[in-house]
Amino acid sequence: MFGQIIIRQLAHKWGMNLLLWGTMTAVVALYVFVLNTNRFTIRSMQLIMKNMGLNQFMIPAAADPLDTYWCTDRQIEFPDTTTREIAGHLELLSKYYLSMLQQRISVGDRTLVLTGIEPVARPDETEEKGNPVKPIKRGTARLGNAAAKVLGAKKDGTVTLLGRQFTVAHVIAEQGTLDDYRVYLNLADAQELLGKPGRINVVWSFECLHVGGTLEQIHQYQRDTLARLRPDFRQYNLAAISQGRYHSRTMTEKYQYYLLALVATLTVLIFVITGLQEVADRKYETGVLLAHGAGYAYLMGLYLVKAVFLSAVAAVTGFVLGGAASVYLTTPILVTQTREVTILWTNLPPTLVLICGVAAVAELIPMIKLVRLDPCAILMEE
Amino acid sequence: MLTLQEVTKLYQKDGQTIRAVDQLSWQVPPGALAVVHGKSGSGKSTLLMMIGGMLNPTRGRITFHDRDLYALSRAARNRFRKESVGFVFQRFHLLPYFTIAQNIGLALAMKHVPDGPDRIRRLAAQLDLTDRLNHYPDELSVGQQQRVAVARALVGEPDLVLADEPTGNLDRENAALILDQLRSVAAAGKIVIAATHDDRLLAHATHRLHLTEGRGVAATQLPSSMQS
Repeated sequence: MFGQIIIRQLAHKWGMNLLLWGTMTAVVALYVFVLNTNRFTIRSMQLIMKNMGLNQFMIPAAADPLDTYWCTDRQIEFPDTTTREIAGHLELLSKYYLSMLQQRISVGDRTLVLTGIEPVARPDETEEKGNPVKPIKRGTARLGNAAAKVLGAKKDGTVTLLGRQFTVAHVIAEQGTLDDYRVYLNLADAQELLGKPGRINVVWSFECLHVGGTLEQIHQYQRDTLARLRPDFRQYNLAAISQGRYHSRTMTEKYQYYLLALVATLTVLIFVITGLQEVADRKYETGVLLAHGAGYAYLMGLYLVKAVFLSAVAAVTGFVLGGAASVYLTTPILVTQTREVTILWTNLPPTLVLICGVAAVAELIPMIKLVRLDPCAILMEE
Repeated sequence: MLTLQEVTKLYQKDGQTIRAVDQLSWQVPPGALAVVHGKSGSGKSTLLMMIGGMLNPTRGRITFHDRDLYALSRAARNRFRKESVGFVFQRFHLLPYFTIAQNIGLALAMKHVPDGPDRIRRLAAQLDLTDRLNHYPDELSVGQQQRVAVARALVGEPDLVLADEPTGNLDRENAALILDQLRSVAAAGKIVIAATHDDRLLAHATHRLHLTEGRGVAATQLPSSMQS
């Protein structure tokens, strides 16, 4: 009889129930759409910001960063094994390490920066996003835009550097920075060319934000950790890239929390308003069932089961619609290279629990009205 | 045996105390067709609700087969209503989303009675509702709805039937049909209490209670049908 009453009620007030289902579906779909889109937007922003370049470098504490900026002869060199050793400390927030040996060289009356590089992976680094700096094959060179002009070199041509010939693998588009004057080589080639085997003078990396908190807190954590692990080194951040990434992440996360609160509030309002109306509409049924020996637990069960059933159906349909919309609408614009934009089915159970839970809690308010009904007043009403 | 001892029901309304039922004592034995009558607002419906375990009296005791109804727990009183009471409401209160068969069978379904469909068909036949069993309440006339309400109260074969104006909306023929049913229930040893203005019902009552502003005057009589 319990189930029969619920099913008959759903069918009897089908218009109202359809409206309730539709409204809830729209709310859930909006939530899931933003949830999915945010997830992929964060990933997309991470990739965009990462592609802007590495955002921190480490040099010996005794070194002057100005010498690093200007590539002077006063830079302090250290063993290239240092990068691998630092990369092994997983408590550091840095990722995508890069060993670099940089030194000014003269080409005729012009000055270029010979830059040997070698990406170094952290032990836990995955292939998913990959190091933004790709390794350079030995015997090849990657030229900054201005360096290519100074050397008169083009892609697939050759250049002679300090008496040794290299194939030009790539000419980088103009950046408007010092990097335009760099001649990138494989680190080992650069070390041989400069007569500095096994030496580098700067370690570049990318600061990750997963530890949470403000950007300053993240920097402080990183500084403290490095000071503990390698007190002979200091790190410097390229603030613009760090801040850009931090703000994009914070914005999408806060947007998500705001929306979650909005969805919860809307769910509560929808169920409270329709629930109160339903209790009023079904007061005679309440009186009749009480007269036939039903208790309030039975009566409340009728409302709660119906609310949870409707919200569960709406959660599933909303999830599918919102997920599909996020895939359809954002796939063409998001920058994701390694992970497909798709419906995140793992989010279905928490979404289901969230929506049904909020609906059940919201339904408690109409239940207060239900137990306060005077069945005698209803049944004696003339 | 149904016994009311010094039963009083007070209401507060607009700062005033209203005595719906005032120090009423009454006994109704099994097999009785008892009628409560009096003007509108005299406390008839309130009395039926109290007897049915739906409304706590302010003072006094109501016992049914030696069980003090309001000394029972709420759950036990729910069980008492489910197992022992059949209500006929003045406004019928049929469930609009159930067919007539399902409305009649409500009491049986609540009690999980196995032979429900047979009982429903039998009672529907007696109350001339057989061809309406698959209809919905809003497809029936007022008189038919009232017969459905009576059938719903009787189908569970309760020990106590409480009927509020059970013949109020019926023509002579249909009223006689209902009356016959109520009389046969009483004849089977059950207690039937009807609140009514209907003289036809009054004429067949074995017990009468006249209410005036909550105060009652009880009388036992032979039904006119049994008088020589």
